[in-house]
Amino acid sequence: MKAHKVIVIGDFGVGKTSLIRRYVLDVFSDQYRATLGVHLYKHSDIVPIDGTEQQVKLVLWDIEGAPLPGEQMMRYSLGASGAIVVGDLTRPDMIEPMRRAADMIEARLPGRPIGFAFNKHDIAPAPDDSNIAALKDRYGALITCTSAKTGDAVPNLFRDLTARIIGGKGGAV
Amino acid sequence: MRQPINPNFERMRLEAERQRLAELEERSGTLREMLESQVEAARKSNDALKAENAALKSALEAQANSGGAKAAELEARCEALAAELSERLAAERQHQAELKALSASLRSQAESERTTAAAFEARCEALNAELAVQAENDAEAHAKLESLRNALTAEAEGAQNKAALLELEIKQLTDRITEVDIAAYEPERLRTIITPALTSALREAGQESPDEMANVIAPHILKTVKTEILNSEQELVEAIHPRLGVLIKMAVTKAVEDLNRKVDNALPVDRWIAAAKGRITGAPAAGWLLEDGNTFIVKEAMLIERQSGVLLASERSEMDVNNASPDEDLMAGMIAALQGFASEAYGATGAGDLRRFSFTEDTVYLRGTPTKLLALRCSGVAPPEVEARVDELLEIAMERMNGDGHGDVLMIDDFNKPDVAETGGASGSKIVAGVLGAVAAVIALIWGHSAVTNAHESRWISKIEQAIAEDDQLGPYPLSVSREDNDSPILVSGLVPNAAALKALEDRINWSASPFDIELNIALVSEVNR
Ligand SMILES: Nc1nc2c(ncn2[C@@H]2O[C@H](COP(=O)(O)OP(=O)(O)OP(=O)(O)O)[C@@H](O)[C@H]2O)c(=O)[nH]1
Ligand SMILES: [Mg+2]
Repeated sequence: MKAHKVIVIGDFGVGKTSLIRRYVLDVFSDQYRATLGVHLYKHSDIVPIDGTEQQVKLVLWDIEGAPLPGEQMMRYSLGASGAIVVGDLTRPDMIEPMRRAADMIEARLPGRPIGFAFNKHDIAPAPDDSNIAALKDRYGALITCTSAKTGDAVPNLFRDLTARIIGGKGGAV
Repeated sequence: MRQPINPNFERMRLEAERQRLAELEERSGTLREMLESQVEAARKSNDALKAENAALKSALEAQANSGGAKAAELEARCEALAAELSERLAAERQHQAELKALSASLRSQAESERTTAAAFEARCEALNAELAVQAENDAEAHAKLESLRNALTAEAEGAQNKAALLELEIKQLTDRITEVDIAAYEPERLRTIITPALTSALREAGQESPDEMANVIAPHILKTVKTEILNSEQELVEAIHPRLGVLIKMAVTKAVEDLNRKVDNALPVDRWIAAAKGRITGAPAAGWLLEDGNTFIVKEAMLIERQSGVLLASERSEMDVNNASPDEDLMAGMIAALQGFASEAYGATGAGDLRRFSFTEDTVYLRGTPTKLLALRCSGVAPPEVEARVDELLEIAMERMNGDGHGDVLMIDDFNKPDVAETGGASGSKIVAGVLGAVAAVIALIWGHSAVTNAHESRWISKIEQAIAEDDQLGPYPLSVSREDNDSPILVSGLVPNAAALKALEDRINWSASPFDIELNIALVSEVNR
């Protein structure tokens, strides 16, 4: 079975690593250790796709955080099947960097599904509906408020994205 | 002497006296007259005053009489005023009453006004709410515009980035031409970066006394790292810092190998290579044994999609089953990330590729095309010629992958024969068949995955067509071979005379040993006519 490459991008410290570790290992740590370069995680999961449960294999690329997409982020994004763009709900200007990252994905990986994770929902409220609607309109993306700490909505975000990755391909046939 | 009296003179004097008397007399008469007239005048004025006095007196009397009349008049006026006042008072009272009535009516008017104001307020609130909703809609439209603008900006930025990249490339090229001395790269700084990484790399490499070892091989490593860095720019050196560990690990492995080399000189590696080569070129080759105690083995062969790092195919050597090997999907991703980093850091594709690096105690040999990477993970200390030979082997494989189709049918067929993996297995010895199998499988899989190239695909289609054409039985029957896209199987569709002909066709197609899935969509005349 071929693995699917999924990149996880966003500003530093927004919780990319935490989200992945919650999904893959079901753990969380309050300590912050910045990711340098890229870290890879593999995860096998069973995901409902078009009504049937399917075994899938993901290789998650946890890419060093940056406020704007730079060369490194772009290089490691190559060939990805899908992307999760993470933002930190506690930060005031969280949406703009997420948009930039999503724009980069659209330009470099046209047609690949994008999932937005508004993270740290355990300590901050969800953004305005209008903001969410604007992102949804623009990118047709999956949008979820997550908490890597409580695990809230985390596996479902990855699973929904996977369903889109695989369902999208199947839909073309 | 006494003057004599002059009688004339005396006379003259008397005359004068007389004249003076006469004059005086005249003067006193005038005076008198004057006095008399004055007295007369005084008397006259006295009379006048008297007359005036009398007149005044009578006037005063007259006045005193008229005073009484005036008083009466005043009294009358007073009365009149009093009357007027009371009149006015009454009017005022009336006015006040009117005002009271007016104020009452005003109060009630104010009351009703207040009610209307409240109603207005309520409407205002409703309007405000409406406006807020509208404002929200506006914000949405605004956000859309904004995101559109952002998209455009990002595009522009992308173009700029590209331009910058190109510039960087040009600069790199120019820099390379002018061979800079490493001394320019602040040797002191390099040393401080490299030393700790070196020590830990040595420790990881299992050296008991890393410091001593470092002294022995440090010059060698520094040279290796420096030459690597020499090819890149100052900025890239900065970018490499976090990854220097990898570079150093590579260099350490190399150095440790160099030191241990003499020991293994006797390893008959070329036989191994010859055998593999034989397989690749289709020439017959027997199984070949590794002597006991030799640790150099190819543990795993992997074919990786260069950009995504997705593992396309892999083969693990049987000799590696006891080891806890790293996860191959992760390994593949890591190799792609590392290669991506290296080729960017060290220049354009090809020239900048990593060809070899160490991973835990293994060495990974790496060769690539623009879209794929082939990696061999090997363990143990490689004998001196190994790198060159592996190179040779992998380059042959790559050449074939790039479309030199000579003898491919045979080759794949050959590798697909189950006995390849078992060659010599009966002897119970450690057999390199596992290694060979790994290499062979990768080569076979390369064929499968390079199928995206049209030339290769059409070769297979024509091969199948040829197989059909060569079948005398099928000559007149309508059969077509086609393929929709890279992900779909080759489709053979049409009509054949009977089941026997179909079986023959299937055999022929199987014989062609296509790396693609083949789907048959064939009707039998015998069935159609039924
Ligand atoms: N309360 C809360 N804290 C979180 C959550 N997710 C992450 N954090 C914390 O945020 C900090 C940063 O998290 P990381 O997952 O390391 O962030 P990152 O995006 O991987 O950061 P970089 O690798 O530097 O880009 C850590 O201290 C986490 O414990 C969350 O959902 N809730
Ligand atoms: Mg991280």
